[in-house]
This record gives sequence, structure tokens and C-alpha cells, in this order.
Amino acid sequence: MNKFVNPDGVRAPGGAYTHTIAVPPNAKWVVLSGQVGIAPDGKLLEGAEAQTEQVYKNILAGLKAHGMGKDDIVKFTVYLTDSRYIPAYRAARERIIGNDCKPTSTLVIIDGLAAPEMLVEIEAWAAKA
Amino acid sequence: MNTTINPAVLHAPAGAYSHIVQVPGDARWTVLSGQIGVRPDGSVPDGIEAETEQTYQNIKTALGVTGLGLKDVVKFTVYLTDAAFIDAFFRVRARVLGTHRPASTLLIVSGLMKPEWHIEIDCIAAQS
Repeated sequence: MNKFVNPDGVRAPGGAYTHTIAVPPNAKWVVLSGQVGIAPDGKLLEGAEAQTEQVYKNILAGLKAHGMGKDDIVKFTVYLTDSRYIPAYRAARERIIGNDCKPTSTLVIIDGLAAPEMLVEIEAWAAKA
Repeated sequence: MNTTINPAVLHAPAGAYSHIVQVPGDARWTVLSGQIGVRPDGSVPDGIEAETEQTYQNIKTALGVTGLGLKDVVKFTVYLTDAAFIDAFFRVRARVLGTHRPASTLLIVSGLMKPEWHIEIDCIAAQS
């Protein structure tokens, strides 16, 4: 079982994430490619909120393929192409993942992704003992 | 114990890092959220050097919770909001890491979650 800990001496998380997660030695790890807001039919959805929703659906599908779910996620790395997308990203995250799911997380604003229409990309790692 | 390797078939690292870190199969891993230079009271120290120091301090504190330390870090990913911060970052890193040389990636990004943050460091550590 992964252990979620927020240490004394570090400012408490400002959102739905945890500062540290310890994974036991015998865990199985799953690493996902950065997911983008493309639906199974190949269509990139429009707007940061719809793209983020699709990203999380893709992540959950990827985890399910390995018998894992959102509670097994240990790390998200979120790439947004504009800081103005943060509220939309948060709303979509709450809807699909829920704010009770709190893996470790990193968020950065970057200049671009693989195509200019892509506004968000999220990487995920999961581990299950 | 993790093993750092800089093989002769690759160029020498351009800074305080190793090309390869090997982790034994029985290791327990700890994953951190990207740490920033925010003090426990929520304030951000002035200047990139102090902000970097505080970021490493937070990493040390967070690793300590699971009984790990900076010596157990396998990989750092460093995000700076300005390439002009690289020299200051290198100075602090050299001070903080001593002789430890984890694997490392450094990126310049156009922003972090809040505009008053200038550095964020991702970290994964393992101990066996």
C-alpha cells in the first residue's frame, strides 16, 4: 500500500495533492506517456477544460489496462501552455479525478506541446503493491 | 545502495549530476510533489538563490518523513522560469548536494503555478 504523507516543516499543499508518497519495495509500477486531450475517435477536443477532461479519461483507461485505478496514482506532472488555463484544469480535474484523490503533483507552464492546438498534457505514474 | 555511473562511452556530465543511476530491485521508492521555495509560513524568500535554498530544504524535510535523505535521490527534474537563474541554481546545488550526483534534467519553463515562484524541483528517491 502506498503511503501518503505531508511532512511537518513544509507548507501544507495548496491543492489536491500530497507532498510525499512512499511506495513499498514489491510494488508493480505503471508509467504512462503524457496524455493529451484526444478522444478515442482521434479528435482533439476544443478548449482547455474539455481537453483536460479527456486527458484524465485517457489516463484512467491506461491504468485500467493494467488493473489499476486512480487510487494507485503516485505522481502527476501537468503541462499547460498558458497559466490562464489553471482554473479550467482544476475544474476538469475535480470532475474526473475528484479532489479526494491526491497523488504527488507538479505543474509547469510551457511554451508548447507537440501540436499548437494542444493546450494540456499530463504524465502519470502509478504503483500498486 | 544506488550506484551512479558515468560510462566512458558518453561525454562527461556538464555539471553536478550522473548520466546513470542504478537502483536495486528491493528498493523502496519515495516520490515527491514538485517542491518550491515556499517557507512553512507561506512566504517566498527574496532572490533566486534563497528560493533555491528553501526548495532544497523542503526536499530534505519531505524525504526525511520516509527516512530518506538527499543521498537517496535518484533523479531531479529542475524547472527554472528564467535561464538567467542557472548560475545561482548551480551555486546552491553544489553547496547542498556536496558529492552526491543523482541523474538530472533541467528545463526553462515560461511559468509555474504562481508568478511569484521561480523554481520548482521534482524528485524521486530510492533506498534499499
